[in-house]
Amino acid sequence: MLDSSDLAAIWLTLKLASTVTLLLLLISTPLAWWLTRTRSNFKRVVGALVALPLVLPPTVIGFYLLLAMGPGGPLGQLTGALGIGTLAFTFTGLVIASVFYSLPFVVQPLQNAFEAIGERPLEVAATLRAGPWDTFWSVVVPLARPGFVTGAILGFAHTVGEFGVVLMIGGNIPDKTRVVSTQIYDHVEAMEYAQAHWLAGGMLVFSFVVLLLLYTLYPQSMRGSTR
Amino acid sequence: MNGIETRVRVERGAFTLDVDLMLPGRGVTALFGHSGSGKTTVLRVLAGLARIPGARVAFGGDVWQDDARGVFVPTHRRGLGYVFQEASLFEHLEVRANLEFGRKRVAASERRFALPVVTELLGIGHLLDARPATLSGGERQRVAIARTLLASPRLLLMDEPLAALDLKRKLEILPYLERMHDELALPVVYVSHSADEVARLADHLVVLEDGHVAASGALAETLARIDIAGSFDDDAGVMIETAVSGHDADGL
Repeated sequence: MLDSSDLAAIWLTLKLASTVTLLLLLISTPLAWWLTRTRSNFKRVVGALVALPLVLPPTVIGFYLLLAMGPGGPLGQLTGALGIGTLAFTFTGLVIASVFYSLPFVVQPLQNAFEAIGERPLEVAATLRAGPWDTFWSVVVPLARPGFVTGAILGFAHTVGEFGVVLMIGGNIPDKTRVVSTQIYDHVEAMEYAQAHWLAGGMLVFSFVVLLLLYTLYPQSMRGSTR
Repeated sequence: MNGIETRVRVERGAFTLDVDLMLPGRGVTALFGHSGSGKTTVLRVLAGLARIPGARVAFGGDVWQDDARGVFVPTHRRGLGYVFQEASLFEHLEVRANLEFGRKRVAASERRFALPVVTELLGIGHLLDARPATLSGGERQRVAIARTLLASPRLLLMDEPLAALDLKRKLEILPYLERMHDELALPVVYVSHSADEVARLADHLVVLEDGHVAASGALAETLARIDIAGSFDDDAGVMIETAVSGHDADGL
């Protein structure tokens, strides 16, 4: 069965995934809106940057984030100057890394949803005296709801499932950075297959249920959500 | 100065739109022309939905766009209404909330039309709790027109509001538009390529051809001008304004 270190890992994983999902929604909403609306040439550059985690090995992202967060890196110097110390091997560092790693899983469904709305409802709102900010909240957000739900679920599930980035940035420190995926790795290393099964099987069922929920709620929104 | 001033000049490949219009600030003005004549572009510039450099737009004493002086009033501050070819209702809102959308963004003291009056005028009182997806094309367009009126516009712009409807729906809506014309003191600019609609609704007619104004004036004079009859193609004909002065006792 699950022992206390397994439960601690599960708790930490849920805490990490919730924090990351919240931050991702805050960051991805303006980013996806900008990507939808802009005619700037930077659009392609930013779009490609956001999509990088889809193709890169997590270890590559983890490696460069580790360098950036280290005492010599730009992030590390910033946090050092602010008196926070270095972020590598801390929960905060893990949160930042996970945000980068799961970004495309939230930005892309949102961008698809924003693009599907089209120009017309925004024009109608303007002729009915709604300013841009008003229009965004009263028209865009409600119409893009499937995109928000899909993005939040995918961002959460993808953060729960990450391993390589966690290992590079967080190490494997109990109660601080040891999440379910690294705990499973430890169990397997120690030949504790029964305990590994409980966690791995749990992850399998969790991921399946999440995806089933998504496909049931929004069958059409899944198309191209990770194009 | 009470009129609607629109000056636009823009080149798009072989097509040049070059229009300098002074439209009356009352009654219904029809912008008539074939598709591609530039009439929708003129309307969008007037609304501020299209921003063409160098254009000048003014309504009454208010300058809405004057690039020489760096003036551009965004659409939502122009106090105008716009009816699109497709009803474009907000699908996430019920009919009532669609109607309220513009209305609640107008200060109570500036509201010009009451909800019951407008729903009665357009015959949509029984649809208030429906979702837009359940309405017919004609009902959707009537809700869209009512929604626009309830935002208390000072100027109503209509871009071929009947063109997406079949003949039956057209005939269903036309009487409502005629009632609006007769009962509301609201200047209207009405874009259309249907001579029939123009003859029924307009007081003033502007004929656009290939981006230029071919004729502009009171409906009766302009319609009769022979040099533009070609614009109407098969629809060319005679309009006679009549009034029924009484009925005979036998009802004939």
